[in-house]
Amino acid sequence: MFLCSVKNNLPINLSTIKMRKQFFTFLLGLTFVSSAAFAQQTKTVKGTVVDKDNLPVIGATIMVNGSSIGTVTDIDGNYTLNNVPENAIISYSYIGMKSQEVKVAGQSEINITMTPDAQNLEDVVVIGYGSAKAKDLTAPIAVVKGDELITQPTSSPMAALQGKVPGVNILNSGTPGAGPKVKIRGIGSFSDSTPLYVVDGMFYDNIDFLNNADIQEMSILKDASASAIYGVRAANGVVIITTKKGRKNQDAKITYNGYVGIQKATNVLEMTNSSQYAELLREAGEDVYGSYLQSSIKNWGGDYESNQYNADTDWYDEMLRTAVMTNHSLSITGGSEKATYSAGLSYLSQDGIMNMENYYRRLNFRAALDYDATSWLKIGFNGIFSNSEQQLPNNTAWVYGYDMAPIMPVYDANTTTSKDGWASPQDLTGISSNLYNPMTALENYDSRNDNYQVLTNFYAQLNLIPSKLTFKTNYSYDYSNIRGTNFTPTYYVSSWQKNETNSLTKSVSTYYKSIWDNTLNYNDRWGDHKLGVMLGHSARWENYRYLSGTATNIPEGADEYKYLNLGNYEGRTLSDNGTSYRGLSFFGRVNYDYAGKYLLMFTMRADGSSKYQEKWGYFPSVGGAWVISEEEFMKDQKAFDFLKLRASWGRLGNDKVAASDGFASIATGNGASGVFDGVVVDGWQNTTYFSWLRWEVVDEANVGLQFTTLNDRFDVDVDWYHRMTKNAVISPQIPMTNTYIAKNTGEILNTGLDLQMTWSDKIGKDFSYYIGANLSYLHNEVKTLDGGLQLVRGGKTVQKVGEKMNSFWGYKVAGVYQTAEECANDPIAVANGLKPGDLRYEDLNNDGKIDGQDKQVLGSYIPDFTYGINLGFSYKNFDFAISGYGQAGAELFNRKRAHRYACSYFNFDKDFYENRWTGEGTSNTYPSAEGMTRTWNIGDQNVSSFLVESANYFRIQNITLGYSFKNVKMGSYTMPGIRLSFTADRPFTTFKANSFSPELSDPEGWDTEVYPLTATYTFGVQLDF
Amino acid sequence: MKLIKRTLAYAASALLLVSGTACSDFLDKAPENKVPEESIDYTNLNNMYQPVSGVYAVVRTGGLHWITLPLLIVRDDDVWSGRHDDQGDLVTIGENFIYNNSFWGLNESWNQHYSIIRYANTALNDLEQFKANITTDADMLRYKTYSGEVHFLRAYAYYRLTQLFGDVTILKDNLQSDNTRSKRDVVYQYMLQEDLKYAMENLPEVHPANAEHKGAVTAYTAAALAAKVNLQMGNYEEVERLTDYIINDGKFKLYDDFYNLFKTAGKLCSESMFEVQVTNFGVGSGEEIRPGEWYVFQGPVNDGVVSGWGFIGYRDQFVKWAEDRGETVRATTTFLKGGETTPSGDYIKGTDNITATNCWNGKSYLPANETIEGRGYGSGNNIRVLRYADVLLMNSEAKVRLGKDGKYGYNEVRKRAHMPETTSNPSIEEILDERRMELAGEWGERYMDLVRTGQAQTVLNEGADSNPTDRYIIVNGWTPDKTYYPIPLTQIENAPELANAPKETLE
Repeated sequence: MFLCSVKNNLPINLSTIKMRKQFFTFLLGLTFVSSAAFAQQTKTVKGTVVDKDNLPVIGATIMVNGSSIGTVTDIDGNYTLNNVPENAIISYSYIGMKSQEVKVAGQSEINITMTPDAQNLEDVVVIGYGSAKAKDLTAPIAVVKGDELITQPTSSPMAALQGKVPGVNILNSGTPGAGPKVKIRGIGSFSDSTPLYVVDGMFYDNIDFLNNADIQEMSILKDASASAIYGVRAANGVVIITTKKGRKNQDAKITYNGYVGIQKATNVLEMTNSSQYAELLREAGEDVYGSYLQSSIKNWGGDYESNQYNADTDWYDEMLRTAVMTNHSLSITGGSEKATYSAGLSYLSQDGIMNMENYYRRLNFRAALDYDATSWLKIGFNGIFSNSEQQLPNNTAWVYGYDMAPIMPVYDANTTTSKDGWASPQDLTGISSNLYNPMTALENYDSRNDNYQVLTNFYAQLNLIPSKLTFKTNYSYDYSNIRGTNFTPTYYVSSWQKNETNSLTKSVSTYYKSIWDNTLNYNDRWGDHKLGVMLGHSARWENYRYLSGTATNIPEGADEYKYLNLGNYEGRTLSDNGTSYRGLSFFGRVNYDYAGKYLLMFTMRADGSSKYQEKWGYFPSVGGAWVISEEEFMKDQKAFDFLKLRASWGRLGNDKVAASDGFASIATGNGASGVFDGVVVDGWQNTTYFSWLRWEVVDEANVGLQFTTLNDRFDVDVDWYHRMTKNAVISPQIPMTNTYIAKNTGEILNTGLDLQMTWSDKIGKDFSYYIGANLSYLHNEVKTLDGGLQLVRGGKTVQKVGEKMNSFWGYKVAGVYQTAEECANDPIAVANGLKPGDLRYEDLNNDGKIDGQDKQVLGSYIPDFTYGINLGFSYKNFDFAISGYGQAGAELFNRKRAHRYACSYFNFDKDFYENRWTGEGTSNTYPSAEGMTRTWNIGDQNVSSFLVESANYFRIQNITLGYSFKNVKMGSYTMPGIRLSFTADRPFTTFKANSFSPELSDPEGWDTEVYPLTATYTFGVQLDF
Repeated sequence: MKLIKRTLAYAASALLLVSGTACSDFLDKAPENKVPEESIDYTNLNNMYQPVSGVYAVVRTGGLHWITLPLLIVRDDDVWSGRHDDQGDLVTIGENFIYNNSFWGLNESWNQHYSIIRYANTALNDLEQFKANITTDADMLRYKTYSGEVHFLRAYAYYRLTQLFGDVTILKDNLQSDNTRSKRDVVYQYMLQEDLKYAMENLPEVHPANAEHKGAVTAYTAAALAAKVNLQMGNYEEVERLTDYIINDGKFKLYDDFYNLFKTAGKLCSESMFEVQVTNFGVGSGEEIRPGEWYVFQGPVNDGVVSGWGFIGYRDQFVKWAEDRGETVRATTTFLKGGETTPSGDYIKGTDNITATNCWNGKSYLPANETIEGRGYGSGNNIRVLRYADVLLMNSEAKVRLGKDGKYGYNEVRKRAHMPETTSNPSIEEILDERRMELAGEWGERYMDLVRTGQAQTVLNEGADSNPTDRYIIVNGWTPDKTYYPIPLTQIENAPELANAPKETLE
């Protein structure tokens, strides 16, 4: 009923008055409760906390269990606790140390020696709507600390995670400001497999607006039992991000972190130069291509007899440059007895390596404040303000650069064909279409996004029963506004590559969304039993609005002229769109822990969504863990320091699918109207293809084993999972139409293994080191499509039952025809007029014909294995780290080479030049140069395994060398720390594919317009004040 | 007291938690930017033409998909794809009759024509619903006219499908689950009985330019298509009867200027029986109802607005044949030659690249001075589909085959083309030659003539052209089983019954 009055987008209105009354009631009630709680005999306890080297532990937290009595140790490790009940249990904790609990039992001095917690089992991990200690988890949750991200030269925090977490597959993009594609535990949807990001309670599809320095930590909820608390949003996994917060009783800590570096394209694809290119075309047909080649000589010089061309352009070389990247962040955090704060600013600037104006610049401010207003009320606020501008590169031009032959210069002052001195492909005989001067395409591309985004979060937490029952209300609001500008000036290169009327499109996209969460948390313990109960309610408003306009004939010359009303009045177009969804959820979680040995967790979420016809979905999960090392029978063994077995099951939803598909109504407008003597007579087209859709459902089971052995030095964490997506939305084609209609009928299986191992140790006093490895195995399989349907074709790939999603489909190359006799004896070669040097395809059904029925699955871009390794050491003031990442069992489609079907004048890659068939016995895998001009080998419809290449790769992900100065005296001021570092990010990658990178922006694995990946070399400074 | 307060505090928290359970209407939010589907108001007879107009629209958008024309015409001996470097399937079809059942163009053309049939089916249903509300004779007449137009357009789509694929599916109902094909002649029978008969009986007997909606099809258009179907079936009496009817009613006349027949001046002229109409609203920017890529894909490799993708070339030997015959205006109109200036003053760049044509399709040439600045090649020009010239030539052929005097039509066509008339009865060969010239590059008439007269076996196996200047065009490998394209593989995957033996009778 409270919500009934706040149905519009402002959830706080009249009812706040009612709320104030309720708060007042809390206040009265709580004062009473807290004053009543400790009316029993108390004493004072003192002591010292030291580490195993007997050095004082400064700032360790000491708390009386079940109370708010607590303190921290001073600079000598000493502490004093007053009013401690006689029968109390005191807990001692410190970051990086194992916590301990000690019964007072009459003692008045308790001294503690803490041992390091090498595997972070004591760390508090953020889970959905709460937190838990790592050792108490029943689900695999990976935690990444902000410190690990801050020195990585990436524009988006997720990009820095590549190779760090098993089961999390990250595909980076080179486009400045473009975030990576993230998949958690495979791909389970034909629609959208992006995980849910929860930043301080707000839901996002990506976190590209955050700076690495904004992040305190990330929790990656990999399995269903952890993520089911996010219900219908959680099917693709959940990443919870906490932005930086202060700590209590900490002096102001001011830190500057910055780096500056250069980016260079790596693994640039080699193409043929002019004489190699001409050699190939002359092999393909001297009489066919001779006049074309000679036209280059006629225009730009050279000698046909000796096959020399004065025009010899390396287009990729022209299109690439070395670019600068820099990031500066300044942060201040601290806290007093009652308040903590954190504030920061960061500035990132990244230029693109494409040789045109393209960059990404982002300025972020953030602030967080948490305040214990009273003993029973805590309030807090945090905000992130992000302002970015992205000038986009013309990614389409990468394929122009691949295609354009080297036999043309960039500029030609004498041409009559083009304007502005560009060389025109039409000056080459026979070229009418398909070829572009790539550099003109770079110069005349102007597209940018200016993004302004604010995320704010407010909360109030009431302690209803001290340290037992709390109520928290949390409101998060996000506003983001993206102004897009797209301007195409006039230019003329050829009748194919021209723009004779300039045009300007401006758009405004606004997203505004809010989430209001209310949670009630109850924690209690009696004897060896610990119980935690959380109940929650959440309301969600998500809105998107879009407005765009286009006009032509804008005055050219300055950005200040780029206004639609300066263009032609005639022909202006306008587009307006928007969505608004609401969500309502109830959720709960019960944790039970017996003696730290048996852990149980149940969660349940009921999610209501305005998006679908069917409004409500229910998402339960259950998880259990057995900490075997806590058992009595394990007390005397030394093999395992920690050993835990866990298992879980849960159900999740994916609401990133449309609510319906097709048209239930009639189509109208010009597209559905006939023309009669220049007059449009209103028409309609009555179609009946329509289906309601609902969210996809994922059922996932997970079994995991975690242990620490060899004296806390070796940690292993392994999980097996089985995720089945049901009701997956697929779009089979309606027979005899071009229409596809989506249905919730697919089933997709992702099952696999995530393994992480870490060895860390210290040799002597100054040398410590670690070696870690992680490995993920994934089996992805389409189980069901639609009824008995076995195959659904998409534009690029197919879905076939029993195969991986998005499989490449075509002929398998069985060899190359070597001799004329061989061709003459093969009816297939005869029927298709094949020559030696043409590919021989496998006749799958042995019917003596090669046709569509002989096509088969040739691979998929989904890897079987991904793996990461990392190692590092620190010696005195030096620290060094190196990490690597790779994938195996994936294929990509070399669409660049395949695209030669569109035009036989396209350039060849060097690999083809070197490996082509040139006569009997020269190659049994590559066709001849002539073959590359024939549709049999390279046709649009003749996709073959010749064009499918291995996407396996291994990369040195990052190498960092740092040197730290401690307590640097600067006159009377002592600087606590200075760290200088050199980083080489992605300096080396090895792979076989004829590609810039096997990391493709296309999720289906078509290598077309890929922005080359870059190696970044940076110099970084960290200053602690 | 203590108990009461504590209870109150809990109650308040609980209230916040469970608030909302009572109001399920929180989730009842209508989607943005979507007007809910409204049921069509069939009582408003003012809207009765709308479904019909929608079918004309799909003939324009789907029927003009650019891949259809090359599929229809590259199979003959006069025209080839025009380019070796792109759409290689069109080259191998035209040179060697290698048909790839997964060629996208076959699938596209199949789907586009069935979408016309689907929209026509729903339009006929819509018209039925209007009919229930009709009270006046005038409205009933409109109903019949409109239904007649839709019937014609549906038959038109079947005609193209049979041209491409021979035996095709009769889609009587859009939700029909059995899509087994029927024999070509069964489809013809269906078209004649279900669609064209109705259209001829109910459409007005006027020139399309005088139709209620200018350029809409009329009884004569339907009769012309029926004649073409009968010509394919060899029912010459029927061809004669239908073409005599059109000729004798006297509503059509050949347009004097063959060159301008295909340009702006010739739109909806006296000769026009059916055109697909477009418009750019007479202005240089803003929305345009375009002829798809129809003109652009046939546009010559050239500078300026008269340019395009460079597909569709006339073979040198056909050009030579025409010129040897003494063709004048038809040659100038049909052949858009590189290195020459057109009568309209456009210079077309020539090429010595022998992998591409140097002679494009002049019937889809729109001069620069007829193109509004700011628009692309062909903007605003209708696409001619059925011409009276075809009716005249069919009439001559039918009469000659029936042993009658077939001079009239033959001479009319030749007179307009400034070719000498004959005083004796023309031979079938002469009439077929006349069709070859008159209808060159239009809708695959030549190929159909070769097939139905049995010449395909020889003409389409003549091998490489002996003329060394010709552009490597070989025409070889036609066999009777290559008469039609194979059913696209995607179609069979989606509806496996398409692979079954076609039905022999009309159900």
